[in-house]
Amino acid sequence: MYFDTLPNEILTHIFLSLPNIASAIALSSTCHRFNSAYKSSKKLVILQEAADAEFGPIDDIVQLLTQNASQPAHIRRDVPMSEALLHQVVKVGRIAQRYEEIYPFKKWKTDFANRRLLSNDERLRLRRAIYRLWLFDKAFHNAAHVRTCRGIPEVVRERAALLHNFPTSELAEMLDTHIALRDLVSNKICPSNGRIRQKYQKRFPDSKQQPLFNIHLNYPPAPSSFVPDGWFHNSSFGSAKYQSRLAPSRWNEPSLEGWGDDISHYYVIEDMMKLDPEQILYLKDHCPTKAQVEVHVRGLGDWFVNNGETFSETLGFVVKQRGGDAEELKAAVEDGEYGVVVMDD
Amino acid sequence: MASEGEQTVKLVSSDNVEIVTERKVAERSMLIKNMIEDLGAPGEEPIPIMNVSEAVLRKVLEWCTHHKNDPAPSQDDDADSRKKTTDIEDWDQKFMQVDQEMLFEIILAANYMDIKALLDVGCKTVANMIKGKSPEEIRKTFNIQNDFTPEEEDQIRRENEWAEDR
Repeated sequence: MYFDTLPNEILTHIFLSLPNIASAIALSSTCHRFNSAYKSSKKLVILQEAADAEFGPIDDIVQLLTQNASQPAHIRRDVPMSEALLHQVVKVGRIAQRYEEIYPFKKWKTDFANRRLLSNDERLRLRRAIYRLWLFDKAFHNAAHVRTCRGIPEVVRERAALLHNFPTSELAEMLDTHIALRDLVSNKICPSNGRIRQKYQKRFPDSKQQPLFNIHLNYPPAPSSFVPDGWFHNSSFGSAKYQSRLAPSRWNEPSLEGWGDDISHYYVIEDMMKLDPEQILYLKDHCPTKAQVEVHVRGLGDWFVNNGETFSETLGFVVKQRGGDAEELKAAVEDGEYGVVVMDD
Repeated sequence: MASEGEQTVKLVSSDNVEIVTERKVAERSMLIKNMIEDLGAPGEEPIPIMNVSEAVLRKVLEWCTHHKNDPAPSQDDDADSRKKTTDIEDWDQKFMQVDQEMLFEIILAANYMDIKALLDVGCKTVANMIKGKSPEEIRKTFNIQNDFTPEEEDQIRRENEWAEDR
């Protein structure tokens, strides 16, 4: 009794049980028999099931991919699966998967003794929250939603209608994920002056000098004369990750890397939280300096600046409609009672 | 007449061995359940399980005994019953620790006897053996002959390029 002597219906069943797309493709590439079972009429179903197991819930990815201005975002769209759509599903799914690695660092940031990998259920909840936040970004954080229209009752209702689709426990998962994203944006992508100072001290503990933050003037301070010469010659941090941000050089001045402090930083982050999960990852991976982030943001258009994100206030609005309290929900998420990870004790 | 729970049925394997078992256990198999309903009087007439040998049938009944109190599968939850994860219950996992030949025999028997949950567990076990392996490793694991020409292999690689990670 060998594997390749099983009848086709059972081969298909095994194909449908596979946990990811790579396995389905690997199995289909072993021999003619499996290749033809795979390429039969079931191919799309096989790939869809594998994608759902790997990146799912696939339905939420489809809602994200099929959203456009011709239809209100909250109406559920039912579309037939196609190979082209599936390729997009994989692309979106891989981005959500990256957050499965990032999230534990944010969730257990100070409580790092308890930091761990996510379970399969938690991964699914996190991906689902990512897709839904992303859908919210796509629908309401765009050039059609300028600063002046954020409070118009009709627009508020439309935003709320999307969140009405989800039970409060799932909104808590979105909030939890939103908090993790905010942490990523406010510490990695747009660090405050204070954060830069802290990182600088950690990196160069012997330096007597502090980066001087220029909070009033718009011209750059004098080139970094306080850097000991030796750093340029025998430096080992040339390859370090934050090299471009923290290492003073002719082209880079750490004190210009901060995005302000307190209130001004808060408003920068409010603006930046309109970026979708894909953009945030892109900036994290490819734009280590402030100038690069600024160029990217400028490319998005004028609507982006001075126009804070609307997810948090819409969430508050919906929670209030349901007789809850947004602050209480946030506290419950921070305590681990609700959210992607629910802690037992 | 004995109550339904204590009734027994006689099953006959393909190699003509008679096995007596509880009706409740045997009815995990939709094939047997339907047959009993059609026959009316269980226990008297032996039920032939034509495609399943004694060793496999005993193994299948062992699974049915452990799961005899599971909620009965309904007809229309076909799509939902396939759980999204490849998680398998501990007991089932141990139960499935058999050689490949037996594993495939169990899958075939589950398919023939129409025991959906067992078929799922079997297929998931195979899926877990495939998970994370390259085509070459899968061939080695299951002793599959590579019958592709180099040209065909090349073409398959090109067809699947879209799924490669970046």
